[in-house]
Amino acid sequence: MNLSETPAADLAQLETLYDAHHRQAIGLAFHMLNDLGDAEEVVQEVFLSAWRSGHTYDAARGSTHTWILSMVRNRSIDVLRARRRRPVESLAEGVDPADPSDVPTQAVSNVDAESARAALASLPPEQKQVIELAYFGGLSHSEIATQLAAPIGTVKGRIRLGLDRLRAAMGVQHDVLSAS
Amino acid sequence: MAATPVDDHTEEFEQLAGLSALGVLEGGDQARFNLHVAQCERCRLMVRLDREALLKLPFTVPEMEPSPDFKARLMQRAADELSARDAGAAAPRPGLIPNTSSRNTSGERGNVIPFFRRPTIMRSLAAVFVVALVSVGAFSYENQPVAQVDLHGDAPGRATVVVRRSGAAELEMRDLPDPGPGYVYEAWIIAQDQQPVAAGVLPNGNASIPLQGDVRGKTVAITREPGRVNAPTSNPVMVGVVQS
Repeated sequence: MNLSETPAADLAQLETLYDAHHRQAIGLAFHMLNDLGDAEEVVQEVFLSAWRSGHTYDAARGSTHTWILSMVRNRSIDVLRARRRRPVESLAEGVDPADPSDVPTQAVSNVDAESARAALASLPPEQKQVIELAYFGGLSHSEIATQLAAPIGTVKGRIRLGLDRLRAAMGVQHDVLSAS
Repeated sequence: MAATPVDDHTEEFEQLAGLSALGVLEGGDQARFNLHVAQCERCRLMVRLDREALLKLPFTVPEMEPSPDFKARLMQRAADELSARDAGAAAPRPGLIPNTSSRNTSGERGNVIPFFRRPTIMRSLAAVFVVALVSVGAFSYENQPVAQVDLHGDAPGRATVVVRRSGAAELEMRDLPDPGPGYVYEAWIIAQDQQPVAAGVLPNGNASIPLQGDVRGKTVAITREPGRVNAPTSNPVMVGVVQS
């Protein structure tokens, strides 16, 4: 645990972290779980986990924000999977970035909610749908295929095409792959 | 920057790269993709860039306020943890507490005490007995199998990874065809987005070996090789994912 010497200072660190990030964290968890109680439980654990590991708010480092949201997403998917009683590997244990510095800084520094919304909205509806089901719903391609009554190959293809378009719309080094 | 695909690269692996970036890749596909991506620069780059784009998706969701007392509950949890931490730091260590009950108050100092009544010897014997008992128990406990994973592939026969509580793992192969003169089977452990790590060589299709490395949460694959090699030179004959 990387906390400061005095309890008051420790709690102040948590409060600053919370004040800076909680609205987006609650919004994401609620969007995924559709239950405020579950969403608050997930977000509480994420903030306590971040605080225990010594993460503090730094306005110059948007990476902490992205890291917290990644943890909220992973833990929310674990809750969704538990609801579906599907025995799969925990995302919270397996995919959380160990540190905000693991999160690509370009993605963080350019974060702009409006541009992200515009990028997602620019996808054809069938591609946007499968990416949202996978990202926010934690559904596998086979589960999406079942839900949409579509062939698995079609779902895989839509996800690939959707991610290609999303990268292009967000300006994420799209030319590196298309050129090779 | 070039992103070079490997020879077995197909469009399907690029689809699996997207699923991997989303964190929703499943069983057999996960095992196949882990093996492929370990050697495919293009797929590694694709996963990284897909993840980078996906990191922005949470910002498409509207912000929201929690319940009015949520912040107070969070801060109370944190304060409770700090109190518990401070209480733990202030508590005396058990080993420093004087043990008055074990003091010899019988006035026997200087007298001849029978062997079996000498407290030091008896305590030592008891300690050895307890340590031995605990060691045997611990070994037995640590040696318990906690997972068994069947590998899958085109080859006939059966290959199974057994994981013990300690993390040690063995690979057992039964009824796989003989690898042929000059050839062996080689086992590989592959962490996500990492190169395969050699984990042992099996001389024939009916053999068992301890796997050299932690397999939990990783892909285990078997390839047919012309002797021990440092990197796989062929596609796997068997592959499977060991959950963590």
